[in-house]
Amino acid sequence: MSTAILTVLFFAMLMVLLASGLPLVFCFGGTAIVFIIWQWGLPGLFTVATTALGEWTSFILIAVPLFLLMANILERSGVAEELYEMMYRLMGGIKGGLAIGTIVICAIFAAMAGVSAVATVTMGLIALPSMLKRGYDPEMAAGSVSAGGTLGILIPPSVIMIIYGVLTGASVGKLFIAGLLPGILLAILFIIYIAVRCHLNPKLGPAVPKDERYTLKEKIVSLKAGIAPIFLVFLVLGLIYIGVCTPTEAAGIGAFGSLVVLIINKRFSWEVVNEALIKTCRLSGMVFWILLGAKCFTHVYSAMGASEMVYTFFNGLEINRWVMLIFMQLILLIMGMFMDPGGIIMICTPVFVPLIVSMGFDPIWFGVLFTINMELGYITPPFGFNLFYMKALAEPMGIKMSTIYRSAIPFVILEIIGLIIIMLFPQIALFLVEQMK
Amino acid sequence: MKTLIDGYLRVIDSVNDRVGKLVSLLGLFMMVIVVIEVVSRYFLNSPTIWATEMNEMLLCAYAALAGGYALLHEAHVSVEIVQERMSRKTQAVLNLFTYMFGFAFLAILIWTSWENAMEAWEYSERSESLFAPPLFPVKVTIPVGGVLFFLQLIAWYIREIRVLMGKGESQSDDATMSGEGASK
Repeated sequence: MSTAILTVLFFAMLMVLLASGLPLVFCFGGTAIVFIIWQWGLPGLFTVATTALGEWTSFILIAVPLFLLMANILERSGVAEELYEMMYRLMGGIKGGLAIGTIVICAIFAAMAGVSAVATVTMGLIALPSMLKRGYDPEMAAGSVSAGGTLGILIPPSVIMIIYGVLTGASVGKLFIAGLLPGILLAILFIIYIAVRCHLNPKLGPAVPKDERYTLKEKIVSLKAGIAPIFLVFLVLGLIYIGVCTPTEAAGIGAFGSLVVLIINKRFSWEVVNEALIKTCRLSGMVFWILLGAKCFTHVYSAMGASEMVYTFFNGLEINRWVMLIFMQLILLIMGMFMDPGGIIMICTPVFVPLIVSMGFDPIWFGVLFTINMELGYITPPFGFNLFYMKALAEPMGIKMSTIYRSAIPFVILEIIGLIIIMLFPQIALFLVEQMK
Repeated sequence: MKTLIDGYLRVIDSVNDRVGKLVSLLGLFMMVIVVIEVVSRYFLNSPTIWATEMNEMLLCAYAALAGGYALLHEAHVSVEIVQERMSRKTQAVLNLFTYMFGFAFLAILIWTSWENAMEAWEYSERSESLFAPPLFPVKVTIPVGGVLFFLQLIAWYIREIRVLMGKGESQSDDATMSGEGASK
């Protein structure tokens, strides 16, 4: 049978299983074993065990549970509450100030935690009710929280980037640093949008009345909330950037640092730590098993010659490389509407990244574009994770699902604008990487 | 028969729940080991020979043993768009068919990784590093984790059959808590 037909069958089987609602680990694993037995017979199956051992003892992947642990500890550390109080005092008097403050806090959280959920959930619990109480438009309030949360995977550290690095062989440290400026760029775009809209129509985000504002002294006192985050951000990013630490070491130190913050904030108890550990374990269990399935899938993909076939096929088409790039972004965007970013990254990187490299694009830069697409996946209807978090948090406050969907649209457009800017000016992502030692 | 099946469900749920809670502590160990290594390498200038490899082995145990626990708490993500439009019973019929791939994949993992572990045992394999730990303990966590996952999958399957027979509503009746399916 020709490689072409084999390749088509291979992906068709994966797609059918995915659509059937089978957990991703079994979709990848199931497809892999069927084709291994078909192509190489039973002895070929030993690659499953070898892959498990190889992936699960990978040094860089130790960073995944450690960053998840850091995020889960931070969620309970009270840092978000303090930061919000600070932002409230500093920016409450500005039109749209609370929504802008929410974006800033999300960006700070993104620099400490490698996932999107933490900022979305904590800000949804703290900032959303506060904004609604102050008469903010529900769309503006919900949109700023769910969009701000997506920064978590672009501003380093980022679990998504670790997986991208593991699957493509790109340096995780470089990916992290490359995500920094694009993440700040997106945050700035969000802030400009909120400020302009609230300035034009103050009903969207009214300023806190003059007599309820804080004195300069109270504002300065609130600044101490920034100490813990600055400390943690330095631990994680600073150490990676100056080249002292590997991402795994930074993750361990970061998790330890967040534990220290927990103790300093007097929130420490064995229950809190244990809950964070358990949550981390469940999430990691899911990630590592999918990764095993996906790696088996990828091995079969290249061993069958399918990877080479796809590569020759697309190169043979001689399409302009920018057209190809945009086409890939569109596929990612559409997949993001229906699938978990973790799953998308495992299906798409083995296919896309070799093509990207052969067309002369930088895989680190593509990793940043990829991650922004995954961010979009969190807030594009109908299946954006952050929209569902919002639903759970905001429906009790009387916000309808249709409002939550609509709240995301302007931010989806802003993220696409950010994506285009970084496509046109790769230096935004690559400048800091080139400065690394 | 019914009490036997109920007993199986209870035992497996509780075994995986305990294993999961125990394994989750490894997260703390891995953190501490990283901190020890960083301190001894960058501050004391005497890197350990054991920390990195030790952590890699802990990670393997952590990942392998958490699979069944994640299933118990419905943390394994899937694409839900098609199933969402089906009745619960239609979902169950579909699941009874597709989950065969899950059993097959796990069975193959258990078989091949067990063979590898036995080989490590017979030849007393050691890692080719200065630290040179025996490889059997880390290798055996994979089939053990596979078996725990497999047993939990059987429990899951039994519950789906009960849904089909109209004797149960959902997967999460006693020990399970609603999902942390959302990732990253």
